[in-house]
Amino acid sequence: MALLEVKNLKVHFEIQDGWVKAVDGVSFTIDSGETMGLVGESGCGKTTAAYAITQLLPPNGRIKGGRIFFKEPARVAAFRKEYNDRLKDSTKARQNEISKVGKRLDELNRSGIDSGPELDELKDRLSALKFSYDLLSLSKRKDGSLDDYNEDIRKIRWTQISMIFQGAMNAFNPVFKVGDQIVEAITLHEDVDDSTARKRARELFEFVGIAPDRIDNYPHEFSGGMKQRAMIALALALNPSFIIADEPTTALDVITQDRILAEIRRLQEQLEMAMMIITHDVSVVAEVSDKIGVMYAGLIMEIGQTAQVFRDTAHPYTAGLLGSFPSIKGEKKRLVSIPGFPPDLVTPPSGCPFHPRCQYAQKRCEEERPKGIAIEPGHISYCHFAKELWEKLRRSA
Amino acid sequence: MPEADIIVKVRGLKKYFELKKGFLSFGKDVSYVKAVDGVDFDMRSGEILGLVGESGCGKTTVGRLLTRLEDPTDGFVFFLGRDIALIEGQDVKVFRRNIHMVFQDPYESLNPRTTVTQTIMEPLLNHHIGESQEERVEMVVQALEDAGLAPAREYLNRFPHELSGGQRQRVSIARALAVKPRVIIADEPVSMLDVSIRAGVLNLMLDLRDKYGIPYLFITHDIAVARYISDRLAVMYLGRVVELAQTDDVIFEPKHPYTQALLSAVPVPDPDAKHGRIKIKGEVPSAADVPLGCRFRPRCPKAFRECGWEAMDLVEWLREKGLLAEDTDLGKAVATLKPNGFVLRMELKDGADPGAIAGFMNDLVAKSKKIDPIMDAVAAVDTIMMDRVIEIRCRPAAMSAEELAGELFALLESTVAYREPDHPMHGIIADMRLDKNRLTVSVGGDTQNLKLAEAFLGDYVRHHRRKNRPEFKGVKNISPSPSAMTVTVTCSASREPAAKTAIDVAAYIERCLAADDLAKFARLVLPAEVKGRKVRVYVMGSEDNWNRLLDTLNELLIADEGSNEGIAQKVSEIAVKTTKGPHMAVATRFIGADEPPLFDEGRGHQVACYLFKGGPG
Repeated sequence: MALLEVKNLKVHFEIQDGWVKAVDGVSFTIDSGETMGLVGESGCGKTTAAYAITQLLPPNGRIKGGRIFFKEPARVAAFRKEYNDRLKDSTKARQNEISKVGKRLDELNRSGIDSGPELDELKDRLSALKFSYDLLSLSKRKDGSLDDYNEDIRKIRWTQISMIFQGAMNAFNPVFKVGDQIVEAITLHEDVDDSTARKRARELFEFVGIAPDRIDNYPHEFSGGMKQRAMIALALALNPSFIIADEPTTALDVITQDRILAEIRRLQEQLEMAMMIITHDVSVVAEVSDKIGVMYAGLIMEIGQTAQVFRDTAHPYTAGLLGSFPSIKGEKKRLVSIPGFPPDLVTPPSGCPFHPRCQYAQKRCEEERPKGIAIEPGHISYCHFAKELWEKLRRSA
Repeated sequence: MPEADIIVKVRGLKKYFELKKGFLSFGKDVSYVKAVDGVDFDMRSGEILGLVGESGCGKTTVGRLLTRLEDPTDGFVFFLGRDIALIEGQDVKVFRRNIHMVFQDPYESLNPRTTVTQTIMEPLLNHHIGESQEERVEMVVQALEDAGLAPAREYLNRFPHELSGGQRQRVSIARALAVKPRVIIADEPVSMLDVSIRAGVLNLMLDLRDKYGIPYLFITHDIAVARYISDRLAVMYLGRVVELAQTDDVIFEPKHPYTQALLSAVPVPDPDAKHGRIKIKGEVPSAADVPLGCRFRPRCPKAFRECGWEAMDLVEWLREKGLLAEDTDLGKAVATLKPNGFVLRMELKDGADPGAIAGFMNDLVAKSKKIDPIMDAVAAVDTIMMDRVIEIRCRPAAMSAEELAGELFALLESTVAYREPDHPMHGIIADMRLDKNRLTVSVGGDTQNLKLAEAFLGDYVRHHRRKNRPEFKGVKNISPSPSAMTVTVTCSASREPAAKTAIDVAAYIERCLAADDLAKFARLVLPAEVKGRKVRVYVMGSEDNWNRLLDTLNELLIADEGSNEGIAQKVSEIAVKTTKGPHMAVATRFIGADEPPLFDEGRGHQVACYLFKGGPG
């Protein structure tokens, strides 16, 4: 069952010269217990896509479309599908349906008869109709900006979806003890007293491999790796079902990075946590992800199981990205760089955004934005010629 | 590899930064952050030398020392045979032209207010390269095209904000290339660039090396990048090079345990690659508190007896085994632990029996010897009477003029490579001879050269005097003789202060005690401590040992007059000082070891690890 489903998400930023189309139609799903890596170069929109899920956008960020379904029960999903098929896009029909279901619900409530099963079903139907599992419908204002302080979102944020921020070095407040910051997060969201919260903080420290008596240290007394571990402990504090890790190892040394990645793998195995890892480093993704989405200029270029994307590469950009990474394994081969540089997202190229740098580009690429082509089950490439190029690009023979 | 191919030679390079302390700690010893702590390597023409290491290992400081952005605390950097510390005045400019730097951040290292042309033209103007403006513009165009910014005319009038990150870094490279330097120091030149751009810049650097044969020092934390670009690879750990070899030898046959662990942690962009991880303990220690012996030992999975275990390790070991807990035999008896280098002193609580604790420790050592290398490295455990000490008072010593002249001559011969064609004194200094307290330097050519040689020697002496090198203390005057075409450096006798002689005496005692017939007894003697003009020595065990030590020291330092480097002149008195007693403690002494030097394992594969002490095989 899909834990998180992002559908055609568009996030644009308003600036002086116009709109930066940071995320311009991104769709993916993450199942519970699954880890997805979102890779791409700086400015490709990977971080913006993630922040839209937790609804923490800068003030000039606007949601221009799309939906984010999180933790939708199976029955609601089924109803949603049923209504979508039946009502199509007609708002009038939908309004009618909503008032019909609403009326029946009122009747039942007023009658005082014990009719549990039907009541539940009606509630689910109403949810499906009103998309109340769409996180964006809860907090989106008319102009597309998000209400950071929306009560419903605040209930979800950190208790259900938490984050490991980029640069753990600066994510903790330097004037408070690390343990106190974790305790604060717990007591704010849950009705527990300080000593219970402290006990949980000690357990969390133990879990991530820091001596529990160090909860009374200040952030500056921790090394970089320990701060990152403490950050993971903070993300786990409320036992969320989904964690977004934004460049979790970028500022760390190789040996520390390796330890943190091992820690992340342990989370996946022991807690069956669903995760989304945002990074520019394909080797990090190769180490910890079940599936990968490759982003470029606000769009997903290729998505699939890790092995599929790495071995049966079906998009020229992915091939270029993988080809420009040196490795310490195997023979030394000359790296192939991608010519040109990433586009300006205020005026992105027409059609496929990669076409100006793509050696296989044709006229069609300039004119038409590619639709996803399924290469194998679960492996989708957004390239007009994915099927034709696949044989050429894939690395497994 | 013949000497002539070596462009840069780095020997014993050190850079210590003084730690700033609050004014309350006034009067305490100053402590240092040992950023670079004894680095040796060569850079050869046409070769890319990679320098990798984790953050804080000192790799950037090495780059800054090579470009003279920092002055070393000790050691030498020779550029084409010249000691760069001696370069002064106008020559600094020439030197800066020859060693050029490419910085990490292309967003910070270009002036936002100057165009590309101005940026690249600036070093040309500074160094007076090119006859006319047209010629210089031509050079800028050439440099841009070399750096892959073609057609160059399009870029000439752009400002940095009109360029992408990759293009900016290419401008930085073009600027470094324009003056045709002999060496380029590149400090993390691609770490700020996006992946798809990075490969292009790396390929560009490789192509330019092939075209011009300019050697690079390529400093990076990214081992995969270092592997891709470098011909030879040096791995740094905590201020020292621990392994240096041909790149693929380091990558595929790493020998140092640290390199092995580092490589096993590098992620590979291939989901199927499974690598065996080598686990190492803890984190990199602070550079202000570097372990004795091998600095990687506390974390090393392969550490053995010879690695220089010290008292701190034993404290850690006892704690780990839970032997210091309140309710254990040791925990009940020990009041404080005083680790001091290779000796751990345990101060006992009132009523505890020192003999019993020494016995307990001895049993512990015997029991764990086979399992734990740290216990194998224990030289002796015994009780120690802390209420007495043998104090050796030292006095200032005279150093004869001949002695000083000899030392100066040796240093000049080893550091001034006037026989090399690139050295500024080549063809000027013809020969150097030592005659008693006089150093005669013969000069070739005309009297102009005589002046140059005199000025050079003057600068040289002045520079080293500032650094308090003892060899220069005796220099009385430098006088040219136009008739003989020589410059004569005359040395006179000098005095060594007592604080200095005390250090010599302590070192002498250490050396003598290590001699075969004394070695067994010497294990019981704790390392001599120098306090001002006094040297203090303790010995473990009974009263008899104290008497024997006193006899031995008398024999070594005083009775044996005449034979030993005039050591008797430096000692004024040996006495036993006693304080209120009895005061018994228990001491554990380790065998101790120096820092491992780079051992050659054949094919130029150098490893700083005692596992390779025996040489290849």
